[in-house]
Amino acid sequence: MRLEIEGLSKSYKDKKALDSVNLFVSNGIYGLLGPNGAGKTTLMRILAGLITPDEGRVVFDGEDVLKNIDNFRYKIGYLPQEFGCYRSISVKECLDTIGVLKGIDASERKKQIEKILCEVNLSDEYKKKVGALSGGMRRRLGIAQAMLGNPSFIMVDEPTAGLDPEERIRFRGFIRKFATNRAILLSTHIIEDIKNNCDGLALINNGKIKQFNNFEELENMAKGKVWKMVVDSDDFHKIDGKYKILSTNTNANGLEIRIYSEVKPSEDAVAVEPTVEEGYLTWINA
Amino acid sequence: MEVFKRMFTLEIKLFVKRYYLIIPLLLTFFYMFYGYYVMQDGLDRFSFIRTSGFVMMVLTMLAMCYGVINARQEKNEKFDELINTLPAFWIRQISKVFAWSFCSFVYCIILIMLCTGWIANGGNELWKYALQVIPYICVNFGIPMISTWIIAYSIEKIFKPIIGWPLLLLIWYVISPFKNNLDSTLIILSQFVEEPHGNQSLVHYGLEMNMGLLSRKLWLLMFSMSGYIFVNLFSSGTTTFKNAKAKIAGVTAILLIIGSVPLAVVSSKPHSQGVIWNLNNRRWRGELLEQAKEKLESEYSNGQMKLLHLEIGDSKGDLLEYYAKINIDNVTKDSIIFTLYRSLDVIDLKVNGLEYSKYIRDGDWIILENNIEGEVEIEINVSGRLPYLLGEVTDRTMLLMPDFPWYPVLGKHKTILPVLTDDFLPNSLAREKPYEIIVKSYRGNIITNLSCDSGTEFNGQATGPAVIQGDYKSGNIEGIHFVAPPSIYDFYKESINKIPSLFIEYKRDFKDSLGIEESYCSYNKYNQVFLVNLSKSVCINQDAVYLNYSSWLSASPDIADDIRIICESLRPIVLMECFWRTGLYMESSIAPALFHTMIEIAETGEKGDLEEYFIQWWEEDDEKQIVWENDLNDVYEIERLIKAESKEEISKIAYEILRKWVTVNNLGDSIDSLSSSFKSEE
Repeated sequence: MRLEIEGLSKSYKDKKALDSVNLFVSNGIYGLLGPNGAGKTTLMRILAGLITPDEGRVVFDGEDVLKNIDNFRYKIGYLPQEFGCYRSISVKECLDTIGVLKGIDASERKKQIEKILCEVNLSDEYKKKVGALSGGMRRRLGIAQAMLGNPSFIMVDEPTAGLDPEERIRFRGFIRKFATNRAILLSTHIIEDIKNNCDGLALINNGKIKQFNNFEELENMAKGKVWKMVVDSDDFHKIDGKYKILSTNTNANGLEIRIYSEVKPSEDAVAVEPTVEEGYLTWINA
Repeated sequence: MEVFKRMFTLEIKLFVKRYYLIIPLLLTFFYMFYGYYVMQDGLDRFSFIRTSGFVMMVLTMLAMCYGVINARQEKNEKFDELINTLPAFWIRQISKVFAWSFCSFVYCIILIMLCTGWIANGGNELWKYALQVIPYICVNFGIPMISTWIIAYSIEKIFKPIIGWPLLLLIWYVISPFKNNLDSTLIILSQFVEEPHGNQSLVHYGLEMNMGLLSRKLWLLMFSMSGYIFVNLFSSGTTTFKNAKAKIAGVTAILLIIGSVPLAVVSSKPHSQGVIWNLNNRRWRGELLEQAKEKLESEYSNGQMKLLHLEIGDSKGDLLEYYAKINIDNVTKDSIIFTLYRSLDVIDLKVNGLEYSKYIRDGDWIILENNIEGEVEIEINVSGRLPYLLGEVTDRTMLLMPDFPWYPVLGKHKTILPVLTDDFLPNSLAREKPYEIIVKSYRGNIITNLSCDSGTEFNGQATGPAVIQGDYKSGNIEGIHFVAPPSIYDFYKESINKIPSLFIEYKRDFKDSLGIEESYCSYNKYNQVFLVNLSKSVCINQDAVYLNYSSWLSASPDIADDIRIICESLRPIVLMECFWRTGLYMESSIAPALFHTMIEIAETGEKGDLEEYFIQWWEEDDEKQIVWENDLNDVYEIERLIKAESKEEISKIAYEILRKWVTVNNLGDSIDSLSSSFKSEE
């Protein structure tokens, strides 16, 4: 599976939501990381065929998606940021309806629904009304519907927002499980969601995108710019504001802080290996 | 197909779960059942459905609510974003419309079954009524339910509630029947039943259904469908514009708009029979007034009617076509003249079996030169349209009166009489002795004044044929041939003999008051009572009383008292019918105008506003006035009445005027009677 996005731009009035975005996605999990309002959802909605870009093209396995969005719809799974279904129908009915809309034939649909329900741990809840599901269960139902029809490309928009830590961890597990032989584009502003879980990464901010081949590449963005030093608690306020403090940690020697700075902030400061978050912050602030 | 089936089932399921919308729908059945049960005695069999336009308003309001809820449900459940990315978008949208159409259809089917059951009331004419109820309910209830759902869905999908809901309310108001009596632009927009409040002239007409009414509902449906497609095109994302299905949808929407235009044009024309009649009356009124002003030099007649054989053709709509064979005897070698109203054309004419084309059609007359003595047979084919004020002919109803020359009446007569400056009345031409009449109808079952049974062929003796068609019931009740719309018939049938006896009593009292002889107005027994869609209140011809049924619609439980009150209100007109209109032709414009007033003045001895009215009339422009020579004498008499002061004197002069009008106008020995009556007064 190869998805290539070339020079994709989209503006809303004066605001550029996407600015000549280029992205390449193949099998595996791809994280799309960016702050709120960076353009993640716009990109997702364009790929889902909900909005049209001003310019650029999307090529899926050699075929221009925007010219024949109907064909592309059969090949994708999409979990929007806020997913719901008619509250009065059951989990199984919901999946069955979506399966029908995706054009899956009856016997295949039955098999797939049973399998997916099992995979997302909703086997016991299949008779439950959608309105009676918890937030986590609903999100699992969301990923289950995205999986229906074995799409080769799945888009998941902010899947863990609002979930408790346990559900979040469980959700990451599902994503990993489903990533075999297909591409998953996971949009989030939570670094934890993609750290140690994604095979590729792209950062997006103010409509501009940068793709990284691996996490080290992102970490390297901050190489030589992250410093560690130990200060008294009383001196902390002198440093805060002067430098961008990335983290603090109290130990026996005092307050150990990590600082982002282009130059060495003090004699005591030592350069340290940056983390993914620090790389992300560096790119965002660049 | 599977997608359609699934989405259709899902939508139906979602609808069924919305009990708060289903309950009001069911309540409308209950209301209609209860309403019909309570009011069945006071309403015609179709009136209840026809007057339930406000139920339609409730239904369209509910349809709008459901459309709004349907559009919101996906948004509220956060399902829209996902579902719009799935394939089969258009099938899903179409299945939504079909699901609601199915619900509306089921509602209509139940309503049709209930209404037909109520109307037929266990009778054997179930199909006759079902054939009227089915299209009426489907078109007037079903289609607007679908259209308003589509409109509400589309508006809710594209606008915020702050704009959308007031807009919906406005649309609902605009398409509501409130608009019907406003100008024609708004009539185009009125999508409800034509006259939901009911038109009293349509009780015998049955339920209306025609192309105008159908196109009125269809154009809104097509227009709303195109709106629905456009809204879905926009809401599904502009990307879809580029695919083939979206292009097809867009083209379909445009074609729907184009297609709806001719339908809107058709629907903008008046198509309800009630409205058509009103417009027809307005159009003809001036022309008929002018015809009333025309002067007739003298009446003329050659021969005596022996037989009139009429075969009414199966022409459509308001076109009247018939074949008439007339046998006349005692003919002299002089012109034979027939009076046939001018809007009816003579297609061909035969005299004693030979084509005759030398006849002269002059106004209301057909003049034939004649050299034969004794008996003549004349055959005429006639075709034309009558003004509604003079005769009712529609696709399913007819009311042709014996006293009006819709058929060839022997002799040269004036057809319309003036009533002062601003009104007219048809002259009664059924004054001959009764003759043999045969009437055959190829326009379906009719009722005539010739027999008590309805059917297609009748014969009997009368002074002219009456042809009645429509939703009427006829029967013989204690020797009286009674005809009326079914509910009126059933309501009055027990007491119908009271009407003739009251009329006879009025006549007797009037004769006594005037001191005139018994020979006047010789029919002292009425054997036929017709409650029909008469353009005036009463018409009396020979032994038949024709009454406009609209005065008899609102009845109280005390039927006898009701009949007495209604007959009392009709008394002056009955007296004028019996003593004036059926008399000899007189060039008199004042008598018909003041006959009722003069009765009141004579009976009370009070002049009322006669003086003001008279002065006002007298001061009008000469051009507007119709004053015949005979009227000048009346003017003098009325001036004398105005000058009178005491009640006795007023009453006496009023009776004198009435007596003169009645006796001068009387058939037979009128001059002798006049002189003798004046002598007796002196």
